[in-house]
Amino acid sequence: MIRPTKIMKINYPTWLFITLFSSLLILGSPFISHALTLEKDTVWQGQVKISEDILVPKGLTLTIRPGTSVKVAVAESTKTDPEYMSPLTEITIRGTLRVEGTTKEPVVFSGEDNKNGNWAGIVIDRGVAVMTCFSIKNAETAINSLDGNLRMNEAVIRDNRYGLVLQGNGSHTLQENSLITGNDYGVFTLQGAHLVTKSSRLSGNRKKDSFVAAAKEFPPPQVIKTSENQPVSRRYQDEVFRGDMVWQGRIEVAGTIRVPQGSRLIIMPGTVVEFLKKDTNGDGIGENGLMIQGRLVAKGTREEPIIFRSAEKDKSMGDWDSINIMDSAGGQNLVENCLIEHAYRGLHFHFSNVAVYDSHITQNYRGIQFQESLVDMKGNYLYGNKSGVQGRDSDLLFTSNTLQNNYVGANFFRATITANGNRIVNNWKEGLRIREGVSTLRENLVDGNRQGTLLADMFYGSYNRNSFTNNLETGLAVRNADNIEVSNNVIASNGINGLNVQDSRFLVKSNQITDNAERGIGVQSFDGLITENNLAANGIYAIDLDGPGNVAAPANWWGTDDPARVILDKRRESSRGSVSNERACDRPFRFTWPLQTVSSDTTWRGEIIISANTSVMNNATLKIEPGTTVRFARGTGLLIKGRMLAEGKPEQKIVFTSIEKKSASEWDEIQLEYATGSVISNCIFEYANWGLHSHFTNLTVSNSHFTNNFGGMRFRSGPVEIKESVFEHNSIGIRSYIGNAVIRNNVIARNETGIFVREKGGGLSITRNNIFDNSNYNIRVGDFNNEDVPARDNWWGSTEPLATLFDGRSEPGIGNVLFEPFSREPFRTGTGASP
Amino acid sequence: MKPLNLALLALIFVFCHSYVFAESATLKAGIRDINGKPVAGVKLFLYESTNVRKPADFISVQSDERGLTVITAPRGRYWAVARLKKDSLYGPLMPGDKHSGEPVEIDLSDNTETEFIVADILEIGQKKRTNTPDTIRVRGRIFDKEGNPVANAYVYAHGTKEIEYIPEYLSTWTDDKGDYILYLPSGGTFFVGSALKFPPPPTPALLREFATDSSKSDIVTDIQLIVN
Repeated sequence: MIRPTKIMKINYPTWLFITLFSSLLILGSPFISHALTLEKDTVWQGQVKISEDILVPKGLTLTIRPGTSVKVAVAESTKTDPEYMSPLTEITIRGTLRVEGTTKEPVVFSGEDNKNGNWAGIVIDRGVAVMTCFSIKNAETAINSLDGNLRMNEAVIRDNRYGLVLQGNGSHTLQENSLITGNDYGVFTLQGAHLVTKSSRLSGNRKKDSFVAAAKEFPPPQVIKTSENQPVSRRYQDEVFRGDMVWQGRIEVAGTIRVPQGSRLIIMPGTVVEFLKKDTNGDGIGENGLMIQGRLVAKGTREEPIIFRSAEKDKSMGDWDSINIMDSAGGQNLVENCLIEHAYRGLHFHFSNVAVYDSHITQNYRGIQFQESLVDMKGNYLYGNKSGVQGRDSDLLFTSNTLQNNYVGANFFRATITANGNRIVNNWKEGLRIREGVSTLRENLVDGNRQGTLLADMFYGSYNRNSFTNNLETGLAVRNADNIEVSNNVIASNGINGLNVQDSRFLVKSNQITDNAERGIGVQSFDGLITENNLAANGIYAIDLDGPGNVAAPANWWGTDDPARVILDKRRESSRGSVSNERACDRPFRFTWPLQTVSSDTTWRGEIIISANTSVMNNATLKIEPGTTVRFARGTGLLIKGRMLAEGKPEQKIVFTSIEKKSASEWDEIQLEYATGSVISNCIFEYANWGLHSHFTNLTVSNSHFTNNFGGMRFRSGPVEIKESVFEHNSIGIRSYIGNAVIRNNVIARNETGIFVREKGGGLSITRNNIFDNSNYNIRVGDFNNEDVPARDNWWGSTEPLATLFDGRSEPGIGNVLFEPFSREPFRTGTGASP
Repeated sequence: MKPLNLALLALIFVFCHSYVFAESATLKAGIRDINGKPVAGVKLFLYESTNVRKPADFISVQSDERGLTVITAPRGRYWAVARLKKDSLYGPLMPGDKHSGEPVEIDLSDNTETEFIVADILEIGQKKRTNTPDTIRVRGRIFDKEGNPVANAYVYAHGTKEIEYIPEYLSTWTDDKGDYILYLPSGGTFFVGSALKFPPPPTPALLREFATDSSKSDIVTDIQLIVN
């Protein structure tokens, strides 16, 4: 098994080993622990020093006696092994932690050099912690519960970066008689975690006492069908394959299979490879796996995927080691249409050329890990792993992958990365972390993660047309970067800040930085340029400069705010530098929406350009703010499968129009497909093929104006209500097809055809409208409509109503328009458009 | 002005001049692009600390046609960055501008010469790309007889026309655009075909002989294949 770190060093004193491996471990003071997975129930007391990670596995208990002092050394390595959560030293509880402090003899957890954030803290990873009379300080996060069960009483949590971070619907915490103060952040309750607080005090935390955020759930990927019933065709122990070995059927592996240089392991579509668990060192992690030094061809198909999984009856993460590929750069190793689960590391390769396509990698400690390799990943789903992918010193093409619901999505170090079209969503810590190297990110969605994207120590980088949105804390954070370009991104609706910048110098241009809960941009030190951005509607500040240096931010749009009101700088606090905001724009910059798929809740404001057909997915709401203009490129449109809330105001209409604004049909349409709950009011639709096209949607359209389109609005089914609106200068004002709609108080005038009823018009109620001056017909009944159309009590203009209608009286066999009684006077209608 | 004053001034000038020269050192820098060609118009920025994300302490004149520039600064230790800005203004680089990446530590206790390579992100990405010198990447699309791209197909290559079972080299399945990438050893001759099923038929109808030019170890070559 290749797992080279975090093992106990062999130079411990003999007494320590004897003590460690006794059946019930009681440790006197002092001792130094290195990375250690407990193998027995263990007791700590006295002075305990920890120099590397401690893991309490499921089924075991770590008990800490009264008066114990646990001092944690600063980690020397930035490496994170898959079973751990942080590069800092941590105590991870997957079993049970009992802290038995007393008022007179509390238990104290602290960093060795008393600096804030120099050890990770206690991570309750689906485990249980019952903690009494204790204090924690100097940690990154004093206690981080990941679907864990925590009961804490008489705790003092002080001088940490985060006090409590509770994550996940399975996280239950009871906090009693405790004090959480003096941390940067107090208590974060995320992703549906449950917290009950009694007689406790939460105050005096430097940046924020408490924060609650829920991530929107993204639909899980389609499940890969697995074959359960075929008999095992071959069983292997430790073996070496020479030449070409072909696997098909169901394979059981009870050892390590080695494929030496010059040989190949070829796995046929539909093959199931299962690994028995062998855990000789008792660390809870299986050791069986594959060691490819030749080449691997695992070429599944969509119809017949290849499965790699645990052979155990109760399968769990880490039952087997990995598909290791080492020093295999001659030809490309192929992993296609595979499902890889229950491994320590699903794929692990060094000095190799590997393509991973269209595969699902889930329930592994780490999905993929690589270094010094040429890597092409495309169309994969990595979800439900502790760590999705980690790579370093490699050349990576990363295209159209989904990283979802991992603890950390992706972590790259010193790699050359081209990442396009990926979805990095709902990861519990960072979505994407990149340090050093050369990275180009384009048209990626980074959404709903706790932290969106972290960039550090960069000298070359281009981050263009990405969506850093809805992340629970920060969308994009950049530290120690020079020369990079952050442009044309949407950085919006993040829980705290949109963009954080520290010790950097780069270009921030043409971004949509809006609707972030606290700050658009938080700056500590920045010598770059912030220009031509839309910096609007951020909760507290557009730019918060928290440092003495000056920042150049000329020629931005600050929304409707006075820049001086939304910039926090020297003008208010003399210790801060100055943000120069000269040449502020009085109107928004046109912003081209970067992604063709809107898959999470999104807000549009300002001036949005749609350059390609764009879809709002069925779990997402698109909210369009009053005063927004949406301009469509020729032939493009918007498909709403979720919801669209376009609620303008009489004085701030929402405009849907073309770029050219010359003639009808320059853009296609807004199609609502089962988009129930959508609302459209005070909108203008112009120069479209069809302004609105609604299918099977419960929809209300009010106070809107449809003009210079081929058609104003068409719909099928409903129920639809169209009211207080104007349809004019279209070829067809409204078209109904098997419609169920109320059309009332509208002006439908100066079109060629006012209303066209294609089929089954009996479900319509057309009443109290002014329908007149339509050059062909006010209402035309289609050849396939055999129902009468209720249209009583309308005003039809100055001419005889029947002369303006085409129905069964013009063409026998089709339905009639039931226009009587009718009004002799026009009705007062909405939108100020009375004739 | 009296002669005495003139002499005094001359003395002061000589003294200062000598002092300045004694306390300064010169850095001569050659600026090249990633292909080794000299680059004109590049300035050298010297910083007295590793923090180069701020205005420089000293800035050279632009490099000349030979890619040479010179800067004189008080003797000491510096961190240097070369930058080419198209608009010739100071401040952060704009898209397409070039620079030398991480700052280079310069010991300017004496006159020094050094060289910088400037690049933009595309060039540096190309330069940093992991080299597999014995491998060539072959890239293209698979089309059907009508010229339409074929999805869910793949390209394979073998050293001989006869393929016993599985060809030696295989691409991934194609996407909707029919794109494929195939890695082959450089300096060899292969018989290349494409297929819709794996493994390919034992007697492929159409194999194309294809030589991987060893002088193009990291060059992309497009080829077009027909699926039968």
